[in-house]
Amino acid sequence: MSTEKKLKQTPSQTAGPYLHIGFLPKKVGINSSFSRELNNLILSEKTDGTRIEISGKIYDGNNEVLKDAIVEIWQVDSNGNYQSRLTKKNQYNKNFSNWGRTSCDFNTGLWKFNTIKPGIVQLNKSEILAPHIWLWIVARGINLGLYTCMYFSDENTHNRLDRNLKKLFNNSNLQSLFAVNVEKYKYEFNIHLQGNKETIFFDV
Amino acid sequence: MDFFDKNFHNSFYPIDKNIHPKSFFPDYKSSILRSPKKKFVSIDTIISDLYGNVLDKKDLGFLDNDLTRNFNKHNEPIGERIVVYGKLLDENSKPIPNSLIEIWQANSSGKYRHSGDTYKAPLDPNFGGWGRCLTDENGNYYFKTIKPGAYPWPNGGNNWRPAHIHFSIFGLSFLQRLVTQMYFEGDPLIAKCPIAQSINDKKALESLISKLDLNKSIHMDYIAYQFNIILRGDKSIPLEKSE
Ligand SMILES: [Fe+3]
Repeated sequence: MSTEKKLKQTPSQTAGPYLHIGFLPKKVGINSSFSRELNNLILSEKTDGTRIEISGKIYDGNNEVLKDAIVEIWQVDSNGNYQSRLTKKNQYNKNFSNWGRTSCDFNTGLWKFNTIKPGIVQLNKSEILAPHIWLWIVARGINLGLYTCMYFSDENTHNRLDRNLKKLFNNSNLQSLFAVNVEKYKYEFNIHLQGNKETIFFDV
Repeated sequence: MDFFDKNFHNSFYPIDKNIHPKSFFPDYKSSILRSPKKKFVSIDTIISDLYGNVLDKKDLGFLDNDLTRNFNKHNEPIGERIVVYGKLLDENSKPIPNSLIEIWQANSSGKYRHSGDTYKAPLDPNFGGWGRCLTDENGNYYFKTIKPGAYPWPNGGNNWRPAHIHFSIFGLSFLQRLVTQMYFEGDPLIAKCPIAQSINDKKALESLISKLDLNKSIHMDYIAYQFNIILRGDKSIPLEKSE
């Protein structure tokens, strides 16, 4: 009797420096033959929810800004629902894709998404997930895509009840998970790959 | 609680640390300053499904998976014409249907259509190097393309990348997201490449090397390579007992 898995995972390899060709081909001038590029398409005009902008930069171990990374995000809609095999069709927001992709600017390194404020997910009577957005980062020099999670610094009441954050209250780099509200509806979330401000990355 | 377990518990087998490359692999110089130093935090509560939303079939162009024609449909690119095909499965051997696969690659001389590529080799006016497709209901995919050339790269010393095609795979969940590279059977540069060698497990590296398949090749048109891709399996699905 064996409960061993049948197959082994395909190993990851770095996305390398030319990843834009595959992820965002128009950015490098390849635009002749396809209909829909997956560039920042998380929203439509009809999406319900509060529009927010999230942006940031990614820093390496020398505190230099990465200009070649790709960032993807994943979040619930404004009511705390997401599209799923397990979600009833009428529960989620059809005008919201839950997923988005962008790249760092070649000159400044800034990445930016226009999205909506994610809702609160009620897990059970006492536990929630506070509003949060998952990020996934690939670039040259990154051998396995990095997962981190952005929370909102202006959501303290909810953050205190968050099932994941509760386990991290003793982590000295907890602050790295909180986006700063720089002006109304605008949040800044900088990521540090190394150093004393190293972002918390997750083994998901 | 039932609701919680089904929807929000991370139901995937863990990322296999013996198989994937370490973040910090100094032979690959770029990893030195870009690898996190702290241990990743394990988390079991996550919203993971990514079902049917990134792209629909109707969003695809009919030449999206034909790199020999999707950059300039009137002229053929230079190089060895190939088909790369295979199956997308999870660890439980379950095919993953309707999943987006994106690829990118250098042309037959090893040059990328990218402003950052400074290799002396020429661009091909008929080759972009971008492609994508959705797996079919049985997890099958294929691309028609040109075999990419090997190319030199800055890593301190005279390093050459073996011929390879970059893959980005979605699966059914954000947690299955994978980026990798496919190599070609018999390439002597694989053994000398720090990026390929960042994978410690010999069998795991072999699983990235596509197999020549003359049976699937079409005479006077293309030669075929087979490459199957395995993503993390759903551990909530009971495994069949072997024996
Ligand atoms: Fe490459």
